[in-house]
Amino acid sequence: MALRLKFNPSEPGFWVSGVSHVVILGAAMLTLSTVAEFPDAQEGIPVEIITDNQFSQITKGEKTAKEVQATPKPRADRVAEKIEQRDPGEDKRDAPAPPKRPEEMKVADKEEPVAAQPPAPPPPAKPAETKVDTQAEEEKKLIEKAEAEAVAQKVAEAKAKAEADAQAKAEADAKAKLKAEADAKAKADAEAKKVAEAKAKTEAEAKARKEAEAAKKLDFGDIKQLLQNKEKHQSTGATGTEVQKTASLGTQTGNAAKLSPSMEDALGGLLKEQITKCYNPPPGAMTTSEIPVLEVKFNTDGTLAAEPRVLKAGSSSLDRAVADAALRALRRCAPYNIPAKFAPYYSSWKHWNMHFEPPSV
Amino acid sequence: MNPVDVAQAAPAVHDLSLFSLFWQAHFTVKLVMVGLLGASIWSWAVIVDKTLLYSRTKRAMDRFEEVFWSGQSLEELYRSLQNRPATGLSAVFVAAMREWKRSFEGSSRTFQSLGQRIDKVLDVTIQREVERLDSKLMILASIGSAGPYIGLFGTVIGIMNSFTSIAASSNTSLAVVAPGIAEALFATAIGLFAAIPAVIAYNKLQSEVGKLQSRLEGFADEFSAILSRQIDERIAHAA
Repeated sequence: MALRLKFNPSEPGFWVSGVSHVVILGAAMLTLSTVAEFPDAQEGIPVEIITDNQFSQITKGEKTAKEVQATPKPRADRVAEKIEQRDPGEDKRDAPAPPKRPEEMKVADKEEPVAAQPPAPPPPAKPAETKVDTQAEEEKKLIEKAEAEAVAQKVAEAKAKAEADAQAKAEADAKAKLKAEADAKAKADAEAKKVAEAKAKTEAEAKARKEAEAAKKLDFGDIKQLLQNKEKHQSTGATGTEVQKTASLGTQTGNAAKLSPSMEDALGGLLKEQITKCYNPPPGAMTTSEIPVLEVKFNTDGTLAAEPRVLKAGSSSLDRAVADAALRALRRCAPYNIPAKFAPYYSSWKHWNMHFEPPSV
Repeated sequence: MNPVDVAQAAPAVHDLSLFSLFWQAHFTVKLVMVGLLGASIWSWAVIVDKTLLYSRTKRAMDRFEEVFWSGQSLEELYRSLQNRPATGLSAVFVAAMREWKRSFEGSSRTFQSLGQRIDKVLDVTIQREVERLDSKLMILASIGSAGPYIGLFGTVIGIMNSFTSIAASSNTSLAVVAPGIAEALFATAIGLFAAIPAVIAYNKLQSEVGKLQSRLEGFADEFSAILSRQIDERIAHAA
């Protein structure tokens, strides 16, 4: 096409078209130069669905833990006297307990022995009195004793200071006698002040104690009493072989591994071999009509996490005797030697249902 | 490095205005875009020209038919149109009348095949007129059919180009991928921008040419009938 650059009134197409294109492009550049941004989309949270089995084998730590530890260990507040690992669990009874109980309820007041309480109270001085009173008195005595000690300590300290001062004074005497006298006076004043303070403190404490005792008087409707309850809660806490105060935020090694059937058989054989050594068959028990099933809870090191118990046993007395003998054997042989290759599968043999087949003699 | 410079360099957001889309594109894509823009301008030039031409032709036809059927003498009409550049119906009329005149004004009167000759002249004139009306419509047809493909070619080249640069930068976030693809798609947009009006106008103008052509043919048939009657009358007189 030959471009007709001269304007031809009968064929103005080129000019009309060119000008209109320029106008449209200019308008488009003006209007389309700013691009409307999309609003920031909230990022979706991926949701994974896991099976029951995966959930039970999950190696989650505590959500409130600060970090993932290199070697995650179960949380343990203290080392148990009897070596067993216990989950923190729930308290044996609800805290706060009522501060006092009426005399009539003495029977229900039987407390479980709590080995965990760090400041073990000394044995009751007067067993004839009711236990509740004894406890109250014990507390009172303890407080008094502590206070007396505090006062004595303070006085002793003041004395020591005075002595030290006297020494200093003696040294200072050589240099300036007048000044030393003034110092001595100031020191004496300070001592007097200290003694006065200690006295005031004892008085205040006595007052507080009185008030506390008044508040302690039982009133079922008084919630304040419950709030003021200073009694320690009764949870025994988690126990383990070593104290582990900070929990891990899970592990980085993922889910618990599962024991394969062949490894399960191997482990069963190993355990049976070890138990058989400790097994004393009850007299007359050559065979059992029913193989007892024992529930054993292991720790990672092969020690027992809890007392083993009989899940299933035959009905006859002989069967039960065999089951009991098996239990004794289980206890006697602990800790068990579980090879290291089973360690990664701990969650699989943590709770072990043992079919105890009595060895034929 | 000056922290102010860093702060200014940090928001390296792609400018997505039309000009920057064009300017950041690959050379081939640029070429395609420019070509398509030229095609669009050309097609609109053709559309404007042809629309004006057809409306002018139509008006001229109306006026001529009015004069022709007004009972005016054909000789007079011929004389008034003879020296003007004739288009449309007047061109057909003038061509036929010229042949007629030549047959009568010469020394020898040749009536025998005058009708055939007039028909031929009419046919040729109609063909020439239609060709004149029809010219350049093929441009619209070509742009309408090929425009999208050319735009698509530009897009494919642009996307290929942007993918290679993504591979080179080894960063696949959408903010990196998007500008290149937007650039590439701009070529298709221009192709469609040129092609859609061209296709629509081609169909419209084609049908208009058909209407004008049938009108010319109808007039030519009528005029040929009138002339053949005249010839027969003259032959009868002569005999």
